[in-house]
Amino acid sequence: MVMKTATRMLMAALILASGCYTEPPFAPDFPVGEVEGYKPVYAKDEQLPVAFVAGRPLVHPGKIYSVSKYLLINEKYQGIHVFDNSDPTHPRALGFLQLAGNTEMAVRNNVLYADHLTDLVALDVSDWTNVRELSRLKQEHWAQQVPPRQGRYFECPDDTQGIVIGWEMTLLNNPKCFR
Amino acid sequence: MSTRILFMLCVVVAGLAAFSCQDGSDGTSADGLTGKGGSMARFAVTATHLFAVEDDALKVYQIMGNGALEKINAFQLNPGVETIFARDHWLYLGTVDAMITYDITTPANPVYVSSYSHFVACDPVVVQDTLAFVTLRTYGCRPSSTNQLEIINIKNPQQPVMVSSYSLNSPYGLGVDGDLLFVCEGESGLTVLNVKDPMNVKLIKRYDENDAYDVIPNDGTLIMTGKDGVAQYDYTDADAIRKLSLIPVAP
Repeated sequence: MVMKTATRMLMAALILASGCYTEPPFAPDFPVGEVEGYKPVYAKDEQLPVAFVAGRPLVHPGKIYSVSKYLLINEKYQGIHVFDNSDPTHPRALGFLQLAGNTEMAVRNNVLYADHLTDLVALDVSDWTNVRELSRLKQEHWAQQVPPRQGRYFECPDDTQGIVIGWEMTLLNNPKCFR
Repeated sequence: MSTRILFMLCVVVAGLAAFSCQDGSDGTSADGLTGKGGSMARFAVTATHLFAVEDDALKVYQIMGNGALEKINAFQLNPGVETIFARDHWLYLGTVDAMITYDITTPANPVYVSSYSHFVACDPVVVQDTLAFVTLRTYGCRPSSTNQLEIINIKNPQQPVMVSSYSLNSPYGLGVDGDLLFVCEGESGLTVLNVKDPMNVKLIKRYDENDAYDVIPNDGTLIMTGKDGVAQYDYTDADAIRKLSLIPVAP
């Protein structure tokens, strides 16, 4: 009887182990000097709320989206540049939608769907200067304390620098974290 | 008599089914209410639903009357999903090693239709009529792959078949409009191809653009992101594409 239970437990452990570690866990050596890996992108408290503010220059443009007369340009992990593109020879900057952590967007019927922090938000943008939040869904898998892909070194998040709103690939110096 | 009634009933039901199919085919809607993203998008929006892909998941949200979202379904997928594209009642997912097609006639329950496998590479997909265009790009950790465009006949969604392939330098995002296919090739600029005859793709021109990354062709105006910023071009004359403006990246 005891034997049987032990066998079962062993079986369960084996199944669990195979599920958790499809690849053998790899224990890296620290320190490692200069190595490619993920670095956290932080946001300060004042950058966290959704806000439509004055236009600013493009720094790290991400994805683009065209809807009716508007051209939207993502600024990686910061928000969305909004242009009036009625005349493509002279796109006119209307402002910047502060949306910390943002990389994705789509629009339907004057509603902008976008990622904000670790949430998926629906924003009524029929009037950009008066953006209204229609819904906000938490995305448990968008947890930001660890980088998006496994098998990489990363700079350990430092709470004192703000909250982590994204990760960028870069050269790290002696990273102390690995996933 | 009863057979006749049954027959009539069948006709009515068939008619309804045909109608509902037509409703479903309005997925991407040409009503001007839905915008257009680049080929690297992870969100696809239809008249009623938002589909979002993460590295290893497909999520379905219903758009409520006022525009708010409600999550209604989620599917675990193999890791490596990079892009999503919706057309009519089909969803096309670009993953690191395949183009996966889903039927979204019932949007809450996307039905897996087929998977078109290729080399492991980075590969956005765009679709026009019965053809899908996929670009494959090699990079560091995926050395066995190739740099090319693959044109796939998807007339039978269950059985996607490659029509032809075309060698490229380093394709990233792409966009199609009529006979024209625009392929961003990073440092190699923007490549414009004529795909009128998919068996015989012709190079129209390569334009030197700085790190072309993704495009949206929109009714004669091309919006392109690159290292210098977001540029727009007039492509009404494919042989003489003309730059209209540039929203520059801060120096």
